Amino acid sequence: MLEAARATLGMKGRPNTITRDYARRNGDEFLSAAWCDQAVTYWARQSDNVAAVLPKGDRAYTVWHAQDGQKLGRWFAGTAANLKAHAKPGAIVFFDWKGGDAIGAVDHVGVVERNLGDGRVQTIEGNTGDACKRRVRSASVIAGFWNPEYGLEDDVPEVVSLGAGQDQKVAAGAEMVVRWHTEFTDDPKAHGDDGVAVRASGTRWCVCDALVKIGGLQPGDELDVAWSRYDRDGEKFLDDAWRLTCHADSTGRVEVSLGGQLSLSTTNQLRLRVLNSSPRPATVEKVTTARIALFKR
Amino acid sequence: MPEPSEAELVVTGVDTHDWGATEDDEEQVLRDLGYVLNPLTGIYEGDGHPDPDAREDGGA
Repeated sequence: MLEAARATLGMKGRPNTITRDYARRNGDEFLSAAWCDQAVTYWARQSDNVAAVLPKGDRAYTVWHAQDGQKLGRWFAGTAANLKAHAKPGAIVFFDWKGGDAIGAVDHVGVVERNLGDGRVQTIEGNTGDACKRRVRSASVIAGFWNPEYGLEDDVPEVVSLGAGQDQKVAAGAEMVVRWHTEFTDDPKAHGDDGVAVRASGTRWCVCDALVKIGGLQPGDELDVAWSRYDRDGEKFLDDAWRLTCHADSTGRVEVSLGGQLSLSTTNQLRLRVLNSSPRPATVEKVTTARIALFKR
Repeated sequence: MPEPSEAELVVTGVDTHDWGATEDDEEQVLRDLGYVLNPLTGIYEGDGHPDPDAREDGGA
């Protein structure tokens, strides 16, 4: 968590990487909104601490985030004695510039980097003067804080289920990346935002399975289907994690299940490719589907 | 009346003041912790001196 926060020191202005990341999942109105808690959300997601820091999911509204800690029974009022005794590195610390300890009056949030031992803490904060900086804060402005249970693992993997949704042509001798027009998942904006890519929010071990149906071929025509990794922006092909060569059946169709296990991280993305080496165009049918389970490593 | 959205709550209730009160000795404390001021950005950078409490957080 702290490493992720340190990595953003010096970020300033808006929109920025943090607000773009939040807006991608929660709406463009956050692009230019106050981003102190968006920063905490970003650091948690970048460091695989979502379960510990964001028990109710993404947070930009500081009051709700403070209440999350209170509901977990982890809330400490922002007294000098509590800070001295209980504020650990990684604690989420909430500020009320009027000096109160009421959660409903929380203005701002940051993360404790060090407990100074004198009733004060040294923090890293996003959107302090519209920048990410180190600060020193005392009980006079701290409403309270809570210590996330770092190391808490999610019990179940993230699962994203995708459907092609529309027939998609592959020219003779050409390749294409399957575009997913339908996504069935509990977190619909977490994956496949550009319609082709699956991106992990941290280092993940992935078990993927695609049921690919292709028509328009002649018996014996050859093509390849592959789970392929690209760089994060999708501009550079990296490798085929799993690739299978298929031949059309007697009706000129290919129906293949392509499964595999592979790793994803925040530096790459996953796509399903069809490489048509036959002399005629093929059609990836709309019923093509895929399911990817992402496990923390 | 519908509940306000998170975005509406953020606009009205978060960081409406750009600067909160910091400590008078903030810069001296940051220097004493071993951080180094980058004069171009105004940011105190680096890892600082080792923190004896750093292991208490269980992985933060």
